[in-house]
Amino acid sequence: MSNGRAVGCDVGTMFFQVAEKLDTDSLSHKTVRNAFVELPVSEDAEDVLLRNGWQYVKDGENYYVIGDDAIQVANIFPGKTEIRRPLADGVLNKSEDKKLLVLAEIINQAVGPAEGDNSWLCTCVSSASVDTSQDSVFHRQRLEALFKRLGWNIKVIEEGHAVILSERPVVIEDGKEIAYSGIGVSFGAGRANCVLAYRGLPIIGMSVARSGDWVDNIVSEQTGIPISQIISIKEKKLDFDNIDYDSDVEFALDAYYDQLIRHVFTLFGKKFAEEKSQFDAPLDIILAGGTSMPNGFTNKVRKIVDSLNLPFEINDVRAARDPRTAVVEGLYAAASVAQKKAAKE
Amino acid sequence: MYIVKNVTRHPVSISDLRAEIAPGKVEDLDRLSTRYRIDQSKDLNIAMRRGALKVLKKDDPNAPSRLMEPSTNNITINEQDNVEVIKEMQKMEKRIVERVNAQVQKAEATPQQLDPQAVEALQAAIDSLKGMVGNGGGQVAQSMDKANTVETEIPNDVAVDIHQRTIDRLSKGSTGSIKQQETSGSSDVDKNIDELGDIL
Repeated sequence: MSNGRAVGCDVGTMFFQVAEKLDTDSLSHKTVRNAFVELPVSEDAEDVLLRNGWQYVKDGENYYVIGDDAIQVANIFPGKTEIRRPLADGVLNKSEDKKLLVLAEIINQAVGPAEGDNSWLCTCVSSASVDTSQDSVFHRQRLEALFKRLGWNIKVIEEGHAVILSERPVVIEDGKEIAYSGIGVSFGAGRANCVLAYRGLPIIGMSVARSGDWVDNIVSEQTGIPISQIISIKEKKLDFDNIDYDSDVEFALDAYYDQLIRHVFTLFGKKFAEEKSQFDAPLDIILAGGTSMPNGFTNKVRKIVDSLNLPFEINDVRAARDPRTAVVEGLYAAASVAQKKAAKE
Repeated sequence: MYIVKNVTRHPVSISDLRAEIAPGKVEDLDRLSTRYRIDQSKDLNIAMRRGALKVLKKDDPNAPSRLMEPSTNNITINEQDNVEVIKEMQKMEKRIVERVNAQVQKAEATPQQLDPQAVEALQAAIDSLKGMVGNGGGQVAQSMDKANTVETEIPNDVAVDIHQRTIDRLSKGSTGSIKQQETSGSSDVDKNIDELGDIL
């Protein structure tokens, strides 16, 4: 087999991320906001787009602005356009009829076609849901098809597993270090994913239908403040080590983050007990994903898991080196391994 | 389901949905376009405001299908309030029966052209309609169960190929560009790759 590319690609509810090594020293990251607006059909739509320097996709007579520009367009044309998302709750958005067109365009441009016959792309899906009946088989097949049409060899792993491959947690057994063993948790926008791995192999995986979007929505409902403002406070001000309890939003964010963390780890503990896993060695918990970004999040998780009666011992709770890119870097690692293996065969 | 009736004596045109509803006729708008487009339709809005169209039934497109749930046994249709809807469903049922009969007759003449799965699916749909129109919901759940038990195991590769064709069709001819944020830097993940090669 000839040489090719190795690419990690995280098709997230909020962001589409790509990681690929471009030279010997550095890893390249590309990020596209996974959102779009459809411009009302008009004669001057293209002029408006060009004048404002907005990049767009034309399909027939329709214009779509995809990515960060979509937010600006929606702000400029309030009431005429609405921000739409190809994904919802971690899977393809069943209510969005343009999702495949938009995703196909994002993939065409951010990933591009495979080179040679040994190009590998690794992407991820959510582990089995434990709090809804959602199934990701259809989502997984569509993702595979989106990449396969560009000539890629595809590998699909669980999102929490990617955190393990990127962050390399270890357990100590009989004085020996066992690498890639621990619990990887990714708090994304649509779902939270957990995987317990041992020696790099996923042993237990689960996901829940609560994560960043759930927190934003419920805080907005409870405080009457628009979601856009909630997100802004969450991203710019929120510090769990220093909550301003006079601020309704910060107070509510603190309370509902608390509920989210309890929900995730209580259900993971239950799943662990159901699987009758036996882990004597204390495990590290690695936290990743955009929803885990606020300052103090790791301390908050540490306090909550300490208070829960979990069926396994915890050694440490720590954040990934870069919580935003941990998943996509783990996917890149898996793609590189798959490529090397294929080259040997 | 978003059923409207033209209550005027003239055809009502909803040009932005490319639809024309004849006088006195009933139309399910969900058949014509997505709910998003329907809700955005200016012509529909005007027709509603002028009283030319009357909404007979509008459900929530995002709500889970009531037909799929066991609670459908309890569906009751208030016939007095929904007489027109029921009449339309009866007409729809009649049309489907006629279409199936035509297919069966055609197939009897040329047996190779009949797709048994299509006939079974249509039969299930007819049973569902019968249940909704005449016999309450009990039959609906039963017939939907029957439809759901049809074997649908498709090998992953075949399913991916089918999806690929769908995506090719939907994205054919689209062009343009998308703004991306690009960064690059050193990453420790490279160190993991050799190690993982031995493990995975």
